[in-house]
This record gives sequence, C-alpha cells and structure tokens, in this order.
Amino acid sequence: MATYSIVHRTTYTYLNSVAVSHHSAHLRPLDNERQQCHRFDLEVSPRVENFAERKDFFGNTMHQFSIQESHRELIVDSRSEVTVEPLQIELGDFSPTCGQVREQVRKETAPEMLRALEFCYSSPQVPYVHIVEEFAEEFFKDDQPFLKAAMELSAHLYKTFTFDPRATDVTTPVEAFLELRRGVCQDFAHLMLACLRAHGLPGAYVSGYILTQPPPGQARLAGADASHAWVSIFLPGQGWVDIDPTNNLICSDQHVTVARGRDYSDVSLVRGAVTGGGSHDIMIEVTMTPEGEAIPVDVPAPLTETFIAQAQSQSQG
Amino acid sequence: MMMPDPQFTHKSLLESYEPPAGFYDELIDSERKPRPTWETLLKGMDEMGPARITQREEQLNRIIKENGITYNVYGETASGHTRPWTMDIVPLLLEHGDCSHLERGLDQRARLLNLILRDVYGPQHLLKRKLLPAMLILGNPRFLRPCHNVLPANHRHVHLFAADLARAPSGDWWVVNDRLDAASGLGYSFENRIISTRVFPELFHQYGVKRLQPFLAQLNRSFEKLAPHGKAEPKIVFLTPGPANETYFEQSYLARLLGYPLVEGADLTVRNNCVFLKTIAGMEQIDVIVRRLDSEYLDPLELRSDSLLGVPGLLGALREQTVAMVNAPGSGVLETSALPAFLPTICKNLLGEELILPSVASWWCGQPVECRYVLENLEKLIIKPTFPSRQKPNYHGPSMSRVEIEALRAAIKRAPEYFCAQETVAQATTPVFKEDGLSPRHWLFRSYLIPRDGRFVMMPGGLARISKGNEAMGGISMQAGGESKDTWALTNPDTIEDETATLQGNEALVLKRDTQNVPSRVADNMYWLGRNVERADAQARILRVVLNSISEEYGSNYHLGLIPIFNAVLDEKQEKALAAASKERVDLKLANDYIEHLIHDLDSEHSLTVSFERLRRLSTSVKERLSLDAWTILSKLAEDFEPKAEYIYAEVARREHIDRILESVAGFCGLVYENMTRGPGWAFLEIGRRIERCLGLAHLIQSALVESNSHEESTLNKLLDCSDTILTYRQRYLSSMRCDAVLDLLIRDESNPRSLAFQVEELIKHTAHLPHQRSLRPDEPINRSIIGLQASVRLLDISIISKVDANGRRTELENALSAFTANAFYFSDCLSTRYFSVLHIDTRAEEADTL
Repeated sequence: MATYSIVHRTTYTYLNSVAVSHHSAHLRPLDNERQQCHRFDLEVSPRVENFAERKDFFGNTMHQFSIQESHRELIVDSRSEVTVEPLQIELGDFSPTCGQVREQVRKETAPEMLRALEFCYSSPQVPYVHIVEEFAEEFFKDDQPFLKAAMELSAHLYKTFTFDPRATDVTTPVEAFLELRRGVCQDFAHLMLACLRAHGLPGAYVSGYILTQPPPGQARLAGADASHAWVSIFLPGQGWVDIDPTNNLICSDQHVTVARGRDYSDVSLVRGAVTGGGSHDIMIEVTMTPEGEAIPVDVPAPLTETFIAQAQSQSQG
Repeated sequence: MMMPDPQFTHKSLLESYEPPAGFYDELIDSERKPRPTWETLLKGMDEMGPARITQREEQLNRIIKENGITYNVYGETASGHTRPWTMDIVPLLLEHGDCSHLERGLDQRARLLNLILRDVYGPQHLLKRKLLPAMLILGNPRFLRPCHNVLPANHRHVHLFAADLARAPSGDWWVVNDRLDAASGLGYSFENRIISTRVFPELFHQYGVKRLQPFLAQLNRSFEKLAPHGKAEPKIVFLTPGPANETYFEQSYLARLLGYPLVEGADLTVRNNCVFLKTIAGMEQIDVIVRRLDSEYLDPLELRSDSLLGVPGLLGALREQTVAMVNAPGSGVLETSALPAFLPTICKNLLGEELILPSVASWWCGQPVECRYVLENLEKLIIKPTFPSRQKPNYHGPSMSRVEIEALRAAIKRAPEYFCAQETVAQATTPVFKEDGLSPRHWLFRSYLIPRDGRFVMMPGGLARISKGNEAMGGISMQAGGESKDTWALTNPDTIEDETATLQGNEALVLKRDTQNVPSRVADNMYWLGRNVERADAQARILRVVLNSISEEYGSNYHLGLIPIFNAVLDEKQEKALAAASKERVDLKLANDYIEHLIHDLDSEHSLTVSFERLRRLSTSVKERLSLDAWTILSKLAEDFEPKAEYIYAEVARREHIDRILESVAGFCGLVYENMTRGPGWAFLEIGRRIERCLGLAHLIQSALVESNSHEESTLNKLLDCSDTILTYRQRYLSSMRCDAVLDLLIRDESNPRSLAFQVEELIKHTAHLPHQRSLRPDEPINRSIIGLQASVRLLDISIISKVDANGRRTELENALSAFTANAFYFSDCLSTRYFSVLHIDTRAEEADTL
C-alpha cells in the first residue's frame, strides 16, 4: 500500500486577453477497489463562475466552470492525497483466451460485461484502422491467453517505439504514430487500444500519474513529473488489469488513476472553449511525493489570494 | 369556366404513360384504369393540354427563380454554388384513408422512438435486457455520452419527427428512414405548396386539399410550450449551421415562416448556464432553440471540440433546464440502419402493441444467423453501413459486379457488426410531367409529425421526392439531382372539414415593427456588405476613367495626368514600374496588365472578381434581410465575374463590363434605398458605405494631388470624373480647373453627395439612430470619434491645404488627409467594439443590469 501527495498545476498563458471561457476538468483521482482519494482541492485563478461537480458517463468526477472576466492567464491547481493498494490478481498464463474474451463480452448479460463491451468499439481518437489491425494480427489469435497477449504487444511497442515528447501532439492520429514510431504515453496508449479493439477486445484509456524516481543521490524536483496515460484491459472473471505500454509493465501501486474513458477525448484533464485569446502556451507541473518523503520545497504555493473553488471530498474508508 | 382546348387530348396523356411492371402505380391500376382519386387531376390536365401545362411549368420555374429557392450541392458550396430547387408540376395525391393510416402508424413510431431515446440516454434497460444490441448504442459514433442524463427522466426527446415512406407493390406502406436529429425539408414543403397553389389553382380548389397553415400554427404552439417554467411569450431562435449547409435556403425560409430569428452558433453565448443571443442592443435570453445543426457540433466544450458552429456551455444550460431544444441533443443515435430490425420487438415490450407501420425488411450482420442470410443473398440486397455517414456508401447488390460483391463479402466478414442489409424495395411510381406527357417515376415521401395532447399529429402534406431517371430505390436524393413534388393530402369526402375558416377568422394578428435586436453578426455583415459595395464601385469608377483616358486621349500629353489617378488602385511596386516605363506615353502593355489584374486576379485581395465573391458571400449570409431583387443583383454580379477560360478582353468589352458593374451597384443601392426598412440593418449597411467612401476618396485625393504634377489640370479633371462631380464643377467654375476649387467641392462641400463632408454628416445621422445611442454619454469613444471626424473636415482651410511647397508637395493636404483617415479608422474600430464584438456587449450587459 502506498500513499501519495500530488500537486498538479496547469498554467495557460494567452497571447491576447480572453473575454469569456468555459472549462471542464477531469482532475480528481478515482475511488475504486484499489484506490482511495482522501483529500482533493481544486483551485482556479482568476475567479470562476458556475462551478459544478458531477459524474461523467464513465463515473469519473468532472468539474465544470466558466470565467467571465477578461484574463490573460489561467491557473488550474489540483492537490490530492491518494492511497493505492498493490495489484493482487493472479497473473498466470491461465487468463481467459482472446477467443473466450471476445465471445463472453458479447454474449453474457452481466452488467460488468456490458461495461466492458463499451470499450470494444472505435472512439473519436481510437478509430478502426486496417493497418493497425494487421499490425497486431499475430498477438490476438483465439487460443492466446488475453493477458499474455496484451503484455507481448506492450513489450513489442516498448521495444520498437521510442518515447519522444517532440514527435507528436494531442491530436496525432494512431496511424501517424504507427508510421513515426515516436511519441508520448498518450500515443502508446491509443495505439495499443486501437490494436485491441480492431480485434474485438476490450481496452480502456486511463489517465493519471506515475511515481518517478529522481536520479540516484538527488532530491525529488518540484514540477518535474507529468500526467501519464496507459491502458486497462478486461479479463472476464478477474476484472480490469492496467498495462502501461510506455514503460512496459503491469500497473500496481505506483500508478494513480484519475479517470477512465474510451480515449483521451473522454477524459482530457483540462478542456476549454475560449472566446478571444489568440495562441496560447500551456505549462504543466506535476509533483508526486510518496508518504514519508519530504515534499519538495519549491512546489507552487496554493492560490490563497485568489478565489478558491473547493471540491473537497471525504475519504470513504 | 375553362374553355375546352381545341386539341382536346384526354387519352394522349394517359396513353403514353407506361409504368414499369411489378410496382404499384399511383395513377393507374393493373388494368391501366385511372384510380378514382386521380381522375379529376387527369381530366383537368387533359383539358389544359400539354402546351398549357408547359406554360404552367414555365411559370413554376419562374417562381422558383424569382423566390431564389435554392439547394446547395456539397463539393460545390466552397465557391458558393447553389442549384435552383427542382419541382415537378404534378402533385402527389394522398387519399384520406392513407393519411389516417400513416398518422396512426407514425404517431406510434414517434412515441416509440421517443421512449427508446429516453432509455438510451437514461437507464439503458433496453441494452441490459438485450432488446437492443449494446453495440448499436455503445459502438455508435452518434451516441453522445455527454448527453447522457442531460434531460430529466420524463422529458420528451422528440419534438419534431420525420420519416421517409415508400409504397410497396401491394399498396401497403413502408418506412424507409427515420429522421430525428435535424430533419430537413419542412421549409421546402411549405414553399412547394405555395408554388403548386399558384400554378394549379383550379385543381387545388376542386380537390379538398388540406391546408398547411393550421399545422404551422400548431408547430409554433408546440415549440412555445417547450419554454422552461412555462414562460409566456418565450424567445425562440432557429439555429443553423450557416450558409454553406445544403439546405440553408429552406432553413432561412422556415425560420421566417415560424417568425424566429435565424442564428448561427457564434450569435449565441452561455452565461451563468443561460443562453443569450448577442444583439446590437445587448444580450437577450433564449428559451427554446429549434436546431438544424447536428448534435455533434452543438457544444465544443463537451462534444466535438473542433466545432466552430456550436455554443460552448450549451449542454450545461440544457442540463440546468434554462433552455429547451428541438430535438434533444444526441437524437441521431437512432438513425442507425440497424434499428428497424429490432423495432417490432421493442414496440411490443415498451408499448405493448404491434408495430403498425413496418420498416423495409432489414438485417443486422452483428447477429450470426442474419449475417449468414445476408452473405448468401448479397446480390439481392442493399448493403448499408450500420452507422451511416456521408463518407460511407450504400451498396446496391443487384447492380454490382462479381468482383465488387466478393470485396464487399470480405469486408462484411471482417467486421460484420458494421454492416446492415435492406431488402431492395419495389418502390411505387407516380406520374411526372416530362416533355409533353406523363411519365412514371419512383417516389419517396417525407412526412413530419409534432406532439399534441400526448400523441403525434402528422402534417397534412409533406415533401415528395422523385427519382432522377427511371431507376428505382437508392436513386432518390436531392444531392444526386432528384426532383421534388408538392403533396396534396385530401380531406375525407364523407365529412365536411373546413379548417380555413377557423384559421383566417379567429387568430388575432399582432402588429409588429422591426426590432432593434439584430444579431451582432448580422450587423457586422451588413456593415461589411456596405463597405464592399462601395469599394467595388469606387474601383470600377477609377478603372473607367483610366480606360477612357487611354482610348480617347492617348494622342496627346494630356493623358499623362491619369497616372496619379491610376496610382490610387496600384501598389507601390506597380506604381514605380508604371512611372519608370511611362515617360512620354503611358506604357500600354503594363497599364493593360494592371487593369486585367485589378479586374480578374483571383489571388489579389483588391481585384473586382475577389470583391464580388466577397459580396456574394456577405449578401448570402444576410439574404433574409435584403430584398430579393437586391440580393439577385449582387449574386449575378459575382456570376458574371466567375473565372472564365479566356482572360483576354477587348478594350470595348472591358469598358462594357465596367459599365455593367457600375449599373449593378447603382441598381443595388437604389433598391436598398427604395425598399429596405429603415432599421438597424439598413443603418449599418449605410454606415459601411459612407466609411468606405471616406477612406476611398481621401486616398484618391491624396494620390492625385499631394505630389503636384505638370499635367495637373488633366488630373483634376479625372479626379472629378471619378467622383462624378464634373457637371457640378462646370456649373460653378466654368471650365478652368483649379486645385482649391476642386478640393472645396470634394472635401468641404456638404451639399455634394460625393464629398467627405457629406459622408461625415450622413455617418452622424445614422449613428444617432443606433441602439443605446441616446443614453450614451458624449464622451463615449464612439461619440468622440465621430466628433473628431467632423472636426477634421470642418476645420480645414482650403487655401492652406491647396498650397504647394518648395518640394512640389502639398504637405498640409497630406497631413489633413491622413488625420482624417485616422479618425475614420478610429470611428470604425469604435463601432465594431461597440456593436459587433462579444467583448463589448458583455460589459454593456453588465452595465445595463446596474442601471
């Protein structure tokens, strides 16, 4: 079991002033069987109007607000404390085969099957692409154990694709990533999902945070982390297992889930529609500190002097 | 009484009519006997004879042309192309029995689809109980997750339902398509009715055709009822995707019929979860949105983020129930080709009834048994994508080659869930009038229903569409060039129905005046329309003067005085090149090249061709506010200047062309002056023209006179010619051309409609009538700017500005003109922040609250 303190600040700087803006945010870590969010504060500058919290279609917590005063800078600052338990699933070769998974999610009527079925189809950023289907052909034969097959695909992506923050952006299509072979966690996740779904298998997109280790002998740096994304697959009878293809590992207690959806477009961290503004820059600073370790001193201070939209939540357990 | 035609040909119309075997025909039965309903129509047409019917047909086409009824064709709209609406003269007759059967069936269907939508966007019992395969919703790109639970549990999703119907060989009806998201065609069906009553008035009266007016009134009432909290006299808007949409014409027509402002997404804004219309008089809260914009584009915050057509925060407003929408967002999810296969069972489950109106037999390949059947019968079926989109074709099995069939089979096997099959239907035929006789065409009928007292009522009429040639099913599409027909729903001959009396007698009319609440975008477009009209006019005048001078004065040095005038429309590089090449004579080749560019260059911001294209776009976007004639003039102007194969014009042809431009612009301005209501729209159009004339004239004077030249008398003459003031000058000063006299006439003289002073006085007059002007403080920027503009003309001393200094320049004139121009630009900026831009309206709305 691990407990983390997470500070996540997004700063938008606009070239021209923004007259009015509407935003939605997926920033509050999920509560589920393995994860508890004990504390969550969301602070925004400048002053927000019409602040609302609701659950989205997938059960993620979503915040919406608008800013009706002219501004050149928007800061969205979220702070949370989360406990994650390690994965306690048997990870043998005896997981259901791809053939069984394909059939079960389509035939059985249990509610979790219907939920899994949702993640078998194309979505805005994970469309069906024929060359992607061919690319993953060898992995998902009917008799292959699903988890093993998914891990093999993850290993293949890890080996043959390069992490490169400059190669792609949030709108890069999967086929372009397949061609480039360079990109970020979001591209790895989208491509893996496209492979799974082209073969009729359930895969969800997960956005969240991953614990990074500072170089040996050095202290943790404030704001050095980034938000992360990975994939979750459904094993009938065992539940969802998260796989991080960017790092080629099965997620346990070093990954904190914020939201789950079909792809990035369902769970984008902060989304906005602004009037005016011209071009803009975004700066994202994430600091994830494990319990017992000192929080880096230069983590940005809370936005105490501005209006604070608080969305605190109590721990359930 | 109609005189019998000397060439009475009762038989000939029917004789040449040969409907294909195996189909139901509306006009004649299997023994070729006319069906009783059609006898009156047939008799009437035979009495008229083909020649007179052709005359009526010509009348019909004239009305379409005069009313500007158009249909945009995708792929051509980028350059602004529209196709005239096409309508056949013979109406489709719908017997009373058919109507009441259809209404029963479609009422049930609309109620059913409403319940399905409520479930799909709510608890999803249908998926859990497997009555509807989950894939058809969860895998459906039109299932919009952010719309889930947007409406409270018991709210109605469907407020306007449309269905396409066809008749089977047995005479029974089939539903071919359901249209829920943003059904088109309602406006066209009203328009078709107006035309058919004008071309066939006698027949229309002989048949007891049900009127459409009562339905229109019901439509209004049912939309009004949707207003949140039962608000009386709610504010309703008609939301359009804009002029590029294929059916923009009918949207603007329908909006006018219903009496709602036609708005684009950018006209609306969400504040505090309420929707407002941005008008030049401030923000106005909207209660009901009747939309033709597809759901996906409604809200870039929660739906497609690349949508420029929507309103950020709109879903939030719907969730808070501050606004209602026709139809609920996301309704398009049920337009999947696979739904019909599951409707009978769902109907039994949800309504406890048998489905009254069958759909065309369909199979969803996501089910193994059905898929096998489809694969075995591919060459007999129509194969459709499960989730239709413009990019994905339908496949017509019977007309496919072996190779194509095998390719399709492979595609279906690879992803069966994404394919559906439909029986090829033997769609009934109905007569159209073609080349002096009747000939049969397959047809499809779109019917519209709205809720009333817990059930849905059908419009007594609708839009009939017919195939282009004689080909059957699949060939009926307005995009593919099909035609339309009016549909005459006949009253029950056994009962006396007189709906006309109730309509005309009882409804009190509320007298209305134009409101001040013109959407800001419309005001903006009007302003730019005015500016562009004036810019084209000024440029054409200068070109005419240049052309005249070249052709009439080329023998003498006198023509060299045209160079400073010509420079007003040239850029710096051209100016230098022309000066260098024209020592003794103006270089003709260069001059002609430049003229050619100024008329036809598609890449130049300044060419007339580009101006006209801009004019066409602007005038189309405010078409509903211009008189039809005025709009026609501008769109013809653009057509005349469409890029042609040969760009080389003879001088004469060029001059004629320029003359025609000037005539058209004069015609447009005259019509606007005579016919346009003096509301804010007119004021912005006029302000645009006046500002442009200020800027253009100041630039022309600057170009002509700041540098003095040795042929100045010639230049002065041409300057007056460009401003159409030669006669006035001659009356005052006989023939001597003097710079100070010309400057007085063109700058200071308030009685000369082409002087700067006159433009400024007009601007002051129009600005005073704009909304909120009276309550404005004198030191508001817009008022200060106009006073500055006035001062920069009134304070001028003509004797000073006409002086030439030691370097041969009129520096004082130059300074005065640039100060004037700066003031004019400042005024334009103030106007735009005050009335056009979102920013200013916001703060003003807040001010209004505190007053």
